[in-house]
Amino acid sequence: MAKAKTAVVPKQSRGFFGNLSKYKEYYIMLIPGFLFFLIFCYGPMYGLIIAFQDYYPLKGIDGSTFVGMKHFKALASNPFFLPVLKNTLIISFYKLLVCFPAPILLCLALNEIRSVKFKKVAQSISYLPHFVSWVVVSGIILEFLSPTRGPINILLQNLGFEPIFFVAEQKYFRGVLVLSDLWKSIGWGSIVYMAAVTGVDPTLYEAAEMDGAGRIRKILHITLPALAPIVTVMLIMQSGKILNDSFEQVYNFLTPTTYQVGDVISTFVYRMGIQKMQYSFTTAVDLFKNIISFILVMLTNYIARKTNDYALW
Amino acid sequence: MRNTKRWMACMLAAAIAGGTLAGCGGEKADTAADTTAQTSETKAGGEAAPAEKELTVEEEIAQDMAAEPIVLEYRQGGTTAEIDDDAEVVKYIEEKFNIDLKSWYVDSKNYWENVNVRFAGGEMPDVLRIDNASQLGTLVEGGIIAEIPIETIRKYAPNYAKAMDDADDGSYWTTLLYNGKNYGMPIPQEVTPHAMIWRKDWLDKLGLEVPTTLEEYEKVLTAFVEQDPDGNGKKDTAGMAERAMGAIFGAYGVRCVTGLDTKAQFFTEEMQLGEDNVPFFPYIRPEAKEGLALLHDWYEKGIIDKEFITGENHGGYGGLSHSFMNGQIGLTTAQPYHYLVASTDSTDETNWGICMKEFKALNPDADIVYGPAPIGPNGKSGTEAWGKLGVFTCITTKAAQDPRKVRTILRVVDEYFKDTEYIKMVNYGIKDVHYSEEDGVLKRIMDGTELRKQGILQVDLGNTPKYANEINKKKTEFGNSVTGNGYYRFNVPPVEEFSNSIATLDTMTEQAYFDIISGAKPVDYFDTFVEEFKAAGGEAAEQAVQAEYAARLEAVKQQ
Repeated sequence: MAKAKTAVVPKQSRGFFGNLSKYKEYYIMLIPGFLFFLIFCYGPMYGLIIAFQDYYPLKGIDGSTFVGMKHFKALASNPFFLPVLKNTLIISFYKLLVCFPAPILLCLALNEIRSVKFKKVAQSISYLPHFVSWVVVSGIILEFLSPTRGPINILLQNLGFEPIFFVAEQKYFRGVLVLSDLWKSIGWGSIVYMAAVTGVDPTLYEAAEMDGAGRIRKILHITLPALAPIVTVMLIMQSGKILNDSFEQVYNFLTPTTYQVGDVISTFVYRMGIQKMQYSFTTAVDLFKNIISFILVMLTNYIARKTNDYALW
Repeated sequence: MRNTKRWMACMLAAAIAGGTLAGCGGEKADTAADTTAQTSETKAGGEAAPAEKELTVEEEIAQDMAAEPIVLEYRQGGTTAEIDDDAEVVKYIEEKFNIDLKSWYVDSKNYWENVNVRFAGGEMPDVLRIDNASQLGTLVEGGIIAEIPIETIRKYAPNYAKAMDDADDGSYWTTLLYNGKNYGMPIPQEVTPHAMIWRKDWLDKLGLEVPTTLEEYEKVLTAFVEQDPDGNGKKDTAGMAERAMGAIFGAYGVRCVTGLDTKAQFFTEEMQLGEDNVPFFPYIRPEAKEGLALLHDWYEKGIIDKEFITGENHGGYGGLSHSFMNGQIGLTTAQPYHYLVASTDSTDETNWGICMKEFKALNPDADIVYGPAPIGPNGKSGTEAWGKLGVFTCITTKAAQDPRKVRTILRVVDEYFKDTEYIKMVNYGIKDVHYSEEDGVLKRIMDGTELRKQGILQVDLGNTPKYANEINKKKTEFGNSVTGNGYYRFNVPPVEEFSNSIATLDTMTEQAYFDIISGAKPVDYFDTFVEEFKAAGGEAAEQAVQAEYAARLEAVKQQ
């Protein structure tokens, strides 16, 4: 934008300090936010040093011995690390595939509902699961999917099938994770799209109707293009979370029989780190994870910039 | 994901906090390193009295009692409430030792996770109780637990020292050694092994006796599956789930235990001490394979509840078995007092333990009966038992800076080995307010959280032999009468090979055991698992623990 300004209206270019004095009120308003990120996001990054140390809290960062890449080597040689990384990627990918488009579809569907009352009730009900913690949700789902008491299995048995222990069987475990996440997040996730849809100028729809466009046409040519920028931004943000698996969810469903398909970075770090006080090791894992996440965000943004105009930067 | 992020932020903030702490409190760490030197120095220098001669223990105590009360932050394992400063029992304790008692309230669920986060933030209590001697290395290296020389203990806690000497089988004083120094006080405990608990109404309905051998177990448990013990016309009952598995392994002579926790798991970190006094990992023994083969067979036959994988406990107090209470299974394991407190009389409501109360609330007409652990093909049997030494009471580096605090902590410990009235007070409180007494059986009349607020069960040191035999004689006798052989917990000495690999070994073992029992992997996969276990550091850990333990026994013998 700055570039465009200089090129088109060179008169307005006043340099950084020129801008500073002209818009000083805005800059002053920026200070609290700037400080917030400095203190709470960038400052603590200093603590990442402990990934390269044998860190003990009371010895502190200055007192702990520097051990270089020791913890990263331990990470690479740990027999569980590669499977855990693989699980994290697969589960996140499934979730992205299913849980990312779902709120958009829900939003489109809700948008087509004529009865305002019904729409509001439906919307509110779809938000509800978001406010229930995973501990509770997992308890409900474990009962729901129980091979002896769960309604799904009772139905299966009545239809003449063998009951299936969904949460304990490896082939169903990831499905349980994805679908329970979908159930919990779909309503809440659709809010941001609903907001974008309400912002669409109603005259566009009226004009389209005059031109004889049906519902599908209107969705394809008005609603979806209106959603495109927010969808892109959300996708970029989601891609950064691919390695940020949902600890609360997975931990509450995980059992030893499903470690092979369900153990993810955060549950692994929890078992190895917090329970055994290996602060440095776990920081190394997190640092590693964040570097990968950073690369993924940059990559998605790059692709977005190449394909449409809605990239984040 | 949000949780991880918050956690990470917490970690980083903690790192910074830790950094500043070390920055401004450099001398803290130094003093921590050498308590003895400091203690003698202050003594020589004289803290309050400029006297040249050394004070006797009595004079020191008199001096402590005359001074202003000191704050003592007490970190008892898994409490459920913070101490109320005005409670009568709290005042009693405070006056007795001239202290201002503060407790750290840390929820007993995820206890270590929470405590670790507080340590990372630079907070520290004065007294810290740990459950597992193998944690010692990390806590000492981390500058949290301070040395407490055995001579100091003998000096200020003579009654405790005597109890240790009397009960000592040659290894007690070595339990909390680390690099040749002593780091705390292991407390001798009177332990009752877990009991086998059966649905009596199911047995009666099917006309069955409580079984004693593995074959008889199989017959009874099969009847539970096939003959509809709950009489609802549906084949919806199983024999047992994961908790009774420890006794099945026990019949083969190995201590593979599941504990009484909220998750279904095996405790790989608890090694077994062989009859030849050599510790080993029971999970990789051929006997364990026999146990697994039987359990898998039982799983196929429906004796083992398919839902053992998600655990018998579905939340709440860890001792509860929801599968048992809900009538899914007819056999479980718990501490005897969890169900019945002082006799086998299950009609007497005051005799109901915490699990029995919940059980009866759901099944008013049902009943339970205790049975013996199954006897295996070679005549072995037994259930899981906790350690004969427990409640490892350690002092932190913060407390170690003040010799008066150290003395006071030792006196608090010693009192528990000296004064029966004191033991009664800190365990049960005041008669007719907190407990009732009938025929020598004490019964609590206040709920657990409220009790702890009042200062009860906050500075106790568990079920010591003195406590068990003088105050809870009937209960102890009853517990022993309904249980048999116990596989006691072995206190693994802190060696690096063990602590570095145990988290990995634990995951491997649980995965293999659950897969074999549920048939996801064949029984012969056990041999592959053993190879992998050894290669992943299991062999090195076992050897290191054996060498360390042998060296300690040798050292004690030479004394």
